Amino acid sequence: MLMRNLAAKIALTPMMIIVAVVYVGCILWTFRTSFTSSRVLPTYDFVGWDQYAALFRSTRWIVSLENMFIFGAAYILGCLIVGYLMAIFIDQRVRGENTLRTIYLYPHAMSFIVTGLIWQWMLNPTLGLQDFVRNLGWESFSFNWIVDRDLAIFTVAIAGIWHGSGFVMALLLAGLRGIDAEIWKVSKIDGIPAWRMYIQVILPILLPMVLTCVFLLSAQAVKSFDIVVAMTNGGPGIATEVPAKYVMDYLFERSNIGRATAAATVMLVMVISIAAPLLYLRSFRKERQSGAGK
Amino acid sequence: MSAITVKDLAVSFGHLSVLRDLQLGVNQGEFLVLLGPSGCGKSTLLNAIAGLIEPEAGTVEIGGRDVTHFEPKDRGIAMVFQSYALYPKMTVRGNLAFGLKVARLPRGEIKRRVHEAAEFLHITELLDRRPVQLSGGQRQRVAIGRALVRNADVFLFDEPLSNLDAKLRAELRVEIKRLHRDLGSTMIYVTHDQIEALTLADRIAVMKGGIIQQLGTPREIYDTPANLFVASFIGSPSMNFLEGRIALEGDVFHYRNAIFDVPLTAYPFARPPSHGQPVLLGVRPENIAVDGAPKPGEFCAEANVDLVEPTGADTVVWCQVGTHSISVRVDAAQIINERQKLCIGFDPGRASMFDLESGNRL
Ligand SMILES: Nc1ncnc2c1ncn2[C@@H]1O[C@H](COP(=O)(O)OP(=O)(O)OP(=O)(O)O)[C@@H](O)[C@H]1O
Ligand SMILES: [Mg+2]
Repeated sequence: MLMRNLAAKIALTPMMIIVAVVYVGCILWTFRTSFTSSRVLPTYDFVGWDQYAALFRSTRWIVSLENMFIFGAAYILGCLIVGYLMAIFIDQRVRGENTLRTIYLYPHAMSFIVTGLIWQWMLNPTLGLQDFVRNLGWESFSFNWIVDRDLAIFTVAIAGIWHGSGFVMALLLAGLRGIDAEIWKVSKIDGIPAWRMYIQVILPILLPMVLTCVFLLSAQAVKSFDIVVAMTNGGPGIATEVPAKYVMDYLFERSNIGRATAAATVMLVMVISIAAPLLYLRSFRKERQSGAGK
Repeated sequence: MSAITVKDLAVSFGHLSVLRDLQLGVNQGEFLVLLGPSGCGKSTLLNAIAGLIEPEAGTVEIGGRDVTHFEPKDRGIAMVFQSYALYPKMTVRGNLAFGLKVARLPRGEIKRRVHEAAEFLHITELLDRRPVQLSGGQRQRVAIGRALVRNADVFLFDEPLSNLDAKLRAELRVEIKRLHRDLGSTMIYVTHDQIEALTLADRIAVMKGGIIQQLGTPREIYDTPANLFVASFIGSPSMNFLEGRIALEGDVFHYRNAIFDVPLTAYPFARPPSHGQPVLLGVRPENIAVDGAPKPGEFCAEANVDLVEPTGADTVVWCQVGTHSISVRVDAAQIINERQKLCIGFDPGRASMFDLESGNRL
C-alpha cells in the first residue's frame, strides 16, 4: 500500500511541502501579527489581546459581523430556494432546456464585481428599475432599498442570490435527474401532489447536495467583499459593511496591519467553526451509509 | 363481469408505435400474467392501464367505469415496481402511511391498515427501519405493503421479483400467490420469467412486438401454443422443431421428412392441412420417449446421444437424429451415457404442428 505509486509520491513531495509551508506559514504569520501593534509595516512586539479588544469595541466591526450574518442567511436561503425552484422547473422536461440552463448558470460566470455593478445600476432609484417602472406610467412606484439604511444589505443579498442560484440549480438538477422514475410513478398512484413530493421525499434525498451548497455558499458569504465594494461600498453610512471589507480597509487605507490581521483571524475562526461541523456531518453520513451497505 | 377491459388501445412514443389496436379483458379476481421478451410493450400496457401514460387511442375500463381520462389515484389501483421505488428517507411505517396521510384518512384507520398490512407480510418488526437498512426481499415486501394499504380492487405488478436472487424470488412468488388467494383481487403481473408466469397465472397473455400472441391458461399456452413464437418462448429447454411436409396417404395425414414418417390420426387439426404443405413439427422434450419399444401405430427413430445434463429432478439428454439436434427430458433414475444409441419416439397427439410460412398452429 505504502509502496504503490512511490515515484509519483516522491515527485509530488516538494510541491506538497511548498504548499504546506506557504498556506500554513501565511496563516501562522497572520495569527502572530494579530498580537502585535503593527501599523504600516509589520513589527514583532507583543501586545496580547489588545487588537482583539479594540476590534470588538469598534462599532464598524460589530455592524460588519451583523451584516455578514444577515447577508449570509438571506444569500444562502435565497440561493437554495431559487436554485431548487429553477431545478424543479427545468426537470419538468421543458422545451429549450439547454438554453435555460445556460441562462440560469450565466450569472455565475461573472465575477462578484460585475454582478455588483449591474445590480448597483439596476437598483439605483434614479437610473434603474424604479425609474423604468415609473416611465411605464406607474408614477408612485418606489424601490429604493439600496439607499435605505435598514434594507440596503438585502439588496446586496439579492445580487448575490442572482449570482449564486444558477450554481445551486446545476447541482440540484443533477440530483433530481438521478431520482428513480418509478418513485414518481408510485407517487402518482398514491395520489401525492408534486409539491409534497418535492418537499417531503425529494429534498431529503438531495440533502447531501444541499449541504454541499450550504458549505460552499457560506464560504462565499464570509469572503464577500467585492460585491459590497461594487454595489454600495459599505454605504449608506456603514449600513452594508462586511468583515472582509474591514480587513482590506485596515490593511491598506488605514495602514493598521495589527487590527487587520486580528479581524482576519476572527474570520478564519468563524469559517472553521462553520465548516467543521458540516464536514463532520458529511463524513458521518457517509460512514453510516457504507456501514448499512454491508 | 370483466374487472378490466382494454379496447383498441394504441400507445406510441413520438414516432415509435409500441401498442396498436390492443384488446384485453381481465376477469374479476383473475391473476393475469403479461409475458414477453424485453421491449415488447408489457410495461407500456401496464402503465396505460394504471394511467401513467396517456394512450393515443382506445379506452380502459376498470370495474365497469371508463377510466381512460382518470388520474392514476382515482382508478382504484395499486402498483408494485421492479425497483421497489420506496421513499428512501422515510421509515417503513412512513412509506406505508404517506399516501393515506395525504388522502386525509383518519389516524386510527391509517394505523389499522398499516398494522394489518405489516402483519400480513411479516414486516411488523421492520416498521421503524429505513429502506437502506433492508434487504432486497424485505424492500419488496414493503413495496407490496404500500400497495396493500390502498385497499385497491386491482393490483398491478411490473416485474416485482426481477431484482431478487433465485431463492428470494421463489419465496416471494409464493407470498404473492397467497396474497391473491386471500384477497381475491384482480391482478395483472408483468414478467419475462416463464416460471413465474406458469406458476402464478390463471391466464397468461404472451406478447411480442406490442401484440398479444396468445391469451390462455398456462396449460393451453404450454400444450397448445398458438404459433411458433409462443412455442419457442415457453419451456426450457425449448420445444424441439423438426422441418417436414404433410403427406396424405389414403385418408390419413402423415408428417414426413428424411427420418420420420408419423401418422397424424391422433393430432387434433384446427383446420385441415393440404398435401405437400411444408410444416414444422414441435415436440416438447418431456413428451419424447426413449428406448420403449414402439407401440403399434407408433414409430421409432435412431438417435445418438451427444450430451447428458442432469438437473437434479430429471435429466436432459441432447441427441442427434439425422441432422437434427433434439433434447429429451428423462427421469433422473434412467441411466443414459454419452455416445449411446437410443430409439426415440413421441405421441403425435401431444405434438404441435405449425405452418412453416406463417408460423401459425395447424
Ligand atoms: N418513455 C419512453 N420513450 C420512448 N420509448 C419508450 C419509452 N418507454 C418505452 N419505450 C419503448 O417502448 C418499447 C416497449 O417498452 P416497454 O417498457 O413497454 O417494454 P417491456 O416489455 O416492459 O420491456 P422490459 O421487459 O425490458 O421491461 C421499447 O421499445 C421501449 O424502447
Ligand atoms: Mg418493463
